[in-house]
Amino acid sequence: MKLLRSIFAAATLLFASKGALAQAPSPAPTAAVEAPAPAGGESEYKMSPGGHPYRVTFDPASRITFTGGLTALHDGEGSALAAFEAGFSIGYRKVYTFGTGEGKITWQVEHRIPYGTVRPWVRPIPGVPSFDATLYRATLLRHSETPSIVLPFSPPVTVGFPFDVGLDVELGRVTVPVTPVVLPGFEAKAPWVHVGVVRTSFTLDPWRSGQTGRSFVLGVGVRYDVDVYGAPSIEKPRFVHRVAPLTSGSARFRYQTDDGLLAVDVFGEAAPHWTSENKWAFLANANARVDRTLIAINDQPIGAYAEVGYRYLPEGLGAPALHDVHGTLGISASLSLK
Amino acid sequence: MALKKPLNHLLLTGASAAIVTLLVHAARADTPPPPQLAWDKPVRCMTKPDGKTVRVQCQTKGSELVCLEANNESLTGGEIDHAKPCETTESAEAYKKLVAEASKVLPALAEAPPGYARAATGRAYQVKFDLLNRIYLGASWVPTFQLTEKAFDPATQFGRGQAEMGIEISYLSHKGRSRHDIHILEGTATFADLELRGLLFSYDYQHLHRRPAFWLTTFFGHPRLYEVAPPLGWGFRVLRVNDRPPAFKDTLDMEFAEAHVAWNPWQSEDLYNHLRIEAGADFGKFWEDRNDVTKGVGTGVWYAGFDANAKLRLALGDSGLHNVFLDLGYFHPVYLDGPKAGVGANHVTLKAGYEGIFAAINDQPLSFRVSAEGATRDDPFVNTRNVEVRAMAGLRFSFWAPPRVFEPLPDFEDP
Repeated sequence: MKLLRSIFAAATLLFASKGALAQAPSPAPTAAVEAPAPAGGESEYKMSPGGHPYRVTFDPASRITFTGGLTALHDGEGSALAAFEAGFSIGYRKVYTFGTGEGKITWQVEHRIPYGTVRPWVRPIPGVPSFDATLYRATLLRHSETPSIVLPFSPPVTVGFPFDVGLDVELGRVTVPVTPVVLPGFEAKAPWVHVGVVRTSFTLDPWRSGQTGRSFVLGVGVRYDVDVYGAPSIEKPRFVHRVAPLTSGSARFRYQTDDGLLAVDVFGEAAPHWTSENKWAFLANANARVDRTLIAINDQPIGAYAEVGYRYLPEGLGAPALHDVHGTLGISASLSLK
Repeated sequence: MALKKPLNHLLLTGASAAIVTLLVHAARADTPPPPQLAWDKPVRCMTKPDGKTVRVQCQTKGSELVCLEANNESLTGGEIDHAKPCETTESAEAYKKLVAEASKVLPALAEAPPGYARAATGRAYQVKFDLLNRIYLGASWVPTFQLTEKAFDPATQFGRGQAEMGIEISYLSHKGRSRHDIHILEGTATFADLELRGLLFSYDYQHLHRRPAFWLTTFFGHPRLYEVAPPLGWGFRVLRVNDRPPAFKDTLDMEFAEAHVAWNPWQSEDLYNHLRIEAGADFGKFWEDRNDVTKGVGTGVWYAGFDANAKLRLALGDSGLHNVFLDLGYFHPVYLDGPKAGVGANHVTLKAGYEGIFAAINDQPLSFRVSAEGATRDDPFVNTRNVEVRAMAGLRFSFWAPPRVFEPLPDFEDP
């Protein structure tokens, strides 16, 4: 009988531990928890029935994030390959507010240092995996409740200006594409590296949402890129320089829910540019990503993401242009910085 | 004829002894046990007018004062053992006064600490045993059957014996609501058709924490918070040797180290009984020809691999007299060098058994142990899978084995 009771108790314990919903827990852990002051207002935290505060809103742009996912890639030869992709990102967003009422001006300043993804088992260069990493990116957006521009006439004339304005700067983006190229005069495939030295766009936002993380910006800007071809070898490379002199046009749509659990980021860019081969070429880039926070452990978010991307990398040194397509599904674990 | 007389005498004596023993037991069964002083109440030591010291506990029942009086000396002389210190030591005058005041003074047995009982002679003897703390020696009969052509001589199947020894230490931490299990120098030697198994050291940790290890928030629909206190543990072992393992009698397997995490889906309040699932990794060396090890540990092939175990440890009742255990193990070593580099092998072991204490000599328990064991191993070097089944019945003599004491754990572990 005692044995039966023990077995029943064991089963009860097993199932009870599985479904240990935070229902009126025993008092001691509650007593041990000192409720921290909510960082961003009362709505940022909720209180469990047991008296434990837990976070329910997040800033998806202010966190250190590790990702892991399965990506499907175009291998450049008409086939697709699947690979594991790991990612890392540090982001921080600060919102500055000046003035009140109609004179209120808000600046959203967002930094990402550094971020990127790597496919450790896809190695177009022996010993070097395929990766896409950026050293720094800053996104600034100024929102005014009564936007206007002042024309420097005498007297000055103020004209309504229905846009938020901003700046998008990217420094040091290095990509090792999956697909090697065959340069004229060579038989073997040669690895190559695309370096986006700098890209900057002045942006206008006709949406003017005034909400953090919500914008639709159109930009025009400059960019400078270098293609490094490993021919005859990666130790003795050849270069193609590319400059887009205010000929780069871009659009970016960003949206996040009030609680920050869902974030969408869609970006597209087309950049006619002058190359060191003394001719015009065309470069394009598009990316769409959805992040959804699913759970949090000790208030640190864990989520899933889906991303599709396309890059058109133009011909250089006789190598054909490259269509770089990928789609990724993965999970992310983050440490919130705010 | 000369031999027959002593034999008859022996038989008669034995029969008489058996009858007397039965009668004594029957008489004991009819006689209600004498009352006994309580361990958790204060004891007064009083000198009687005849100079003898007795241990006294009194309590008021209604308007009457009833006292229990127990000898402070054993029948064989000397103070009784395992007794509480006296709260007061009082004179013969005080004893006379007590007898005058009390309505009853009943003879009783002295108190005994938890896990002990006290005989009429005054000696305390252990009746509950903690077999997780002991040094043991054992011997058993191990009939063994192998289901492959590599089987050893069938004539030896029923002729195998086994000697075993080991040290087990288990510490229950009340502050941590946790238990630490240690095994040191455990080994068995099975013969004839030698097989040696040895373990230098192993450690396992389990806990019954009540404070959540972490909080989990879900964001499917309305946010909800869950407290998570997973009954997880961990452990490791150092140097486990199996010379001439089951069904592979020319080989030697030496696992240098193993580490694992564990999940205890069920464990008793004192963490004595548990069901434990372990998953880990190990590395070691394997000698296809065991004689090569005499040329140095540099011989043999390295392996590293995954291992998983499911273990049930169950003491029936609270005395620790009846114990059931079940071990299921899976090992997948992958050979790292040699002719089979990169090739893996599967080893599965299953052991189910019972150990029951049937006697104790000077409080050191003597137990009967019976088990059934099966093992199957792949040997990629000869592309063979061999299976061995064995039974075991034997005796174990354990030293130390302190009383199994039930002290409730605190509500919460120390932060």
